[in-house]
Amino acid sequence: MSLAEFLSGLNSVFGIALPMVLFSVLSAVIVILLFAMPLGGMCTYFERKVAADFQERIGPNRVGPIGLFQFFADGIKMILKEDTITKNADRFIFNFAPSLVLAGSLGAFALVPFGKYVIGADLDIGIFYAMALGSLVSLGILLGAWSSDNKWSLLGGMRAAAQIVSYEIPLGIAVLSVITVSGTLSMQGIVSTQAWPVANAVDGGHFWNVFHNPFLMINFLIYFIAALAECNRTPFDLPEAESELVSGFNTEFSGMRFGLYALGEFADVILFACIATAIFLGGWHLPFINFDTLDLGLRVGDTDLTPLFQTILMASVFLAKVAVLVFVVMWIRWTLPRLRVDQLMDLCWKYMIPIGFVNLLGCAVWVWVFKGKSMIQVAGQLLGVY
Amino acid sequence: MLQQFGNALAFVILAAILPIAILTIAKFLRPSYPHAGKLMTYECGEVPKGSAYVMFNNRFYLVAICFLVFDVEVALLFPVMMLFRDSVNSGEGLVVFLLAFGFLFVLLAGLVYEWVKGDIDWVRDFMDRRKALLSEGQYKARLAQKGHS
Repeated sequence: MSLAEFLSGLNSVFGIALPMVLFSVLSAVIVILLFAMPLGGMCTYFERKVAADFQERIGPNRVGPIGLFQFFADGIKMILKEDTITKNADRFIFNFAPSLVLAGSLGAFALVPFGKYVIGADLDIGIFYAMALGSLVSLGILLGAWSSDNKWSLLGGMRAAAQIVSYEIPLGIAVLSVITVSGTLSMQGIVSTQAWPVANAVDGGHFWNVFHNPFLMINFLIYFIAALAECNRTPFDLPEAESELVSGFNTEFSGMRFGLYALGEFADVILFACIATAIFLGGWHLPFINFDTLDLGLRVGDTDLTPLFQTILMASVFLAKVAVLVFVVMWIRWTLPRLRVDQLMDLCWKYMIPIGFVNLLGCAVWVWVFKGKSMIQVAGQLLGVY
Repeated sequence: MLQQFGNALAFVILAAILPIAILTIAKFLRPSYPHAGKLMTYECGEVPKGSAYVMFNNRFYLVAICFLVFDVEVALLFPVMMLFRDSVNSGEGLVVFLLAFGFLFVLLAGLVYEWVKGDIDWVRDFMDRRKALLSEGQYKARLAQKGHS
């Protein structure tokens, strides 16, 4: 059930009849404006705080309690900055390219399952659609770089295009191996197969896909590394390598246009962390508990409040997992040095793609041999638990 | 299902409007004092030389071609692998398995070919390139001529 349909339950609670279109728009506003954008902003604050901790500094601490409102100040500053467009730039493309980066990653948030009832759009082609929209980002970066008529930008943009495009293949293979074990493309479908296994379950209940079989465990690592490269995060930050290319593809961008690129990058990091959580780390599922069947028996009059509390529990578990992944991404930034271009390409084409394909084959053989059961289910069968 | 596509459309429209709205708001708030120095292309403070629209390393082109082949392959495998689990349970696993991995094998053979040819090496040794153009005997003769042994 999508968020719009969940919200339309309000109709029966308050005895009003509003059209579904309104709820679709409302769900988009809630997920994008109240979740994705503020979280992207918070990430810039969080990143600076984490960086400060790693370097034994204090970090931003002036705006609000422990500097929590720093991103508001940053946003206001960005909006009030003068926006220069260089004389030789291709003005139309230059104006429009940064929007493409943000629009691509925000649009794909429709497919993030925060809870059983909280998903923007529960499409049958779910994960495929999310990957398609996510690839708009490389287009935005390349267009922005090309239209600036700046040599640094061009170098950075070309590197970005080559990098993002190359790492989309290992990413696709890792997602493909998840599809092999779960047998569906729908995000809700993939998440619902990852519940803690119960006795006599006909289908589903594999527990988290990352523990489905050893091959999928390796493919999770491949997904994570490829996602780092897709978001241009260290050690794959060659497109904006500040020590060689000034600022790479966004050298000529200033003011809010630069802000859109920065926000787009963080929205992308969160998006990939959300997708990783949903397809590999079990979404909202925890071991030993199943929120689906949890009944707290909370009622107000005739209205059953259980779905609401289920949603709150599921969303908090999901967001906790996302936060851990985003923290790991920041941790890696302060741990690993940047790769060279040839090392980057070698890593993708000579290591990750062959290993990914071998693991895909391994997953298929596992599904065939064990009839789609996961490691935990097989172990449970051997021990006679189920 | 139509409802779900409608929801997805709402997200795409909002995601497209939002950056434009932010930029429009910023347009009314920000100052604008352009002058020649500010509008110059940034080249570390020097006056920029020439345009940036130059001939570019064709490695990038090769990567794009390789990507196209593999990405189409991965995209075509999605529906096949989606059916794999169900077909295993209904006893038709072998057909889908051979279909998917036969297709995959052909493309992996292509990857091996590219690899052996050195097309996925980012930096090809200059001498290697010479070697590809000259025959083995000619290459050794050139090396000897230059004093390499």
